[in-house]
Amino acid sequence: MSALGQSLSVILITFFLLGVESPLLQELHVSSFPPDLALVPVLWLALHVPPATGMVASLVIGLIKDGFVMGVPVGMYAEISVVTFLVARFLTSKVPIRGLSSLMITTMLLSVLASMLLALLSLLFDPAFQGHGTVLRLAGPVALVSAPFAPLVFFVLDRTDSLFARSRQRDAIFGR
Amino acid sequence: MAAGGRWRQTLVGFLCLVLPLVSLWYHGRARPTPTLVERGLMRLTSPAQHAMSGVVASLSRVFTDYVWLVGVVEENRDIRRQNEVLAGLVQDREQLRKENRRLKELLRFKGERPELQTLAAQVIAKDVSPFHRVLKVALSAGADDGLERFQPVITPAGVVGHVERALGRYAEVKLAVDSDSRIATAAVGRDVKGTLVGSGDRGDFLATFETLGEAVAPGEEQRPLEAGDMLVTSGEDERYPKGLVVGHIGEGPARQSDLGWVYPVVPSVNFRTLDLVQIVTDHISTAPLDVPR
Repeated sequence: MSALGQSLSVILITFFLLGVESPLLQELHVSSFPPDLALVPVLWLALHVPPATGMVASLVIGLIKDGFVMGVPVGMYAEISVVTFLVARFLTSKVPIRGLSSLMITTMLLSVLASMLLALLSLLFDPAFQGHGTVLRLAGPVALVSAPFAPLVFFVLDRTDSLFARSRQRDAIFGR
Repeated sequence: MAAGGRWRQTLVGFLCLVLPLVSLWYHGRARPTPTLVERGLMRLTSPAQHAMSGVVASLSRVFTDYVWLVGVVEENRDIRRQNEVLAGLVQDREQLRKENRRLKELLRFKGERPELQTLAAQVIAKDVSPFHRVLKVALSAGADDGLERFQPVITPAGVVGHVERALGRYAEVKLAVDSDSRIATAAVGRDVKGTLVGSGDRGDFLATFETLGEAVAPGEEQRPLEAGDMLVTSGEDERYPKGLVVGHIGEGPARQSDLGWVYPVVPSVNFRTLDLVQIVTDHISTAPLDVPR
């Protein structure tokens, strides 16, 4: 499958994940610390698609999250996604992800980075927002909650990718 | 990589970083109506969340009603099957009874406050960000458009918040406990007015009530309000109609600020169990302030 096709499938899966996140968290009564589900597809893109395509796909994922996460000015999560994508590419080029533990640790690091970016961008562009302290205080718990979802989302994305590219030989956290 | 490809990559990277910043700068400023991008995103995400909410609720019902009961002892299977059917019927009846009660409450409230023109709306999603206290609601089928920013959102129990963004039959509601929320309020039976400021806390949904300076006489050291004192909207912010209950003074300690006293407030609405709300689309500003304590 081409990079464009991969990106489109990742965007669609992320849209589905974000759409189902809110009602599912409410149904399970665990909405206090929602996992950052859009972060994991961005990390997957950083590992699997070329930089230009990945950045555009990350931008779209961020925009979709801007639509689902209410209360933030449009562009907040788009910027966070693109920066996260670039940092994820840099990180994974230095320390390759091998196995579930490194995947979860990388996700936690990126989640903390995303929370810090959220606090910074809110400070700069959202004068009405007063919860910067809360964002930083919850950065750790949100990272811890997001990490276990990384293997699950990677599994779904790897499997979806392999459906369209059986003959291709590439690295995947979960085998083909 | 060829020079052209590198240039293209740099350009794409630059645009991907700068465009969201421009959007943030543009959308970060307060504006009365949603922008084209906000409308597009709401049009994209709201129906999806509405549909997913229904699917998840249905699956949850199937899971709790049927799947969760599979695997009990073999010899009780027939009895359990019969029990499932009966339990389902009872649950359906209970849900109908609760819904009936809620609708009756809404009707009673509309009768008590005839000066308020309201539209009923169902809560379809709650905030997925731990930093904002926001709901997404869908108007009842058949309702016309016409929602606007800052229109009050209420229940028979009291003030829920205000419309932050609206598109068609969907709207985002910023709760009164959001840290950005400010509501002009007055204490019932006391000559004290102030501003209800959301605390932004997720766990307890508390708000604080800042009294204005003139409410406390010079040299007075005693708290003018006590735990349990009811707070209603004063209408001075010209957003919320006068006389809507917002909550009562909580048990916690009050502290003095530059402008007066700051009290903890327990909202009258239970935000965790919100299901149906009403959006005030118009009101005649002659509602009495004296609500029975």
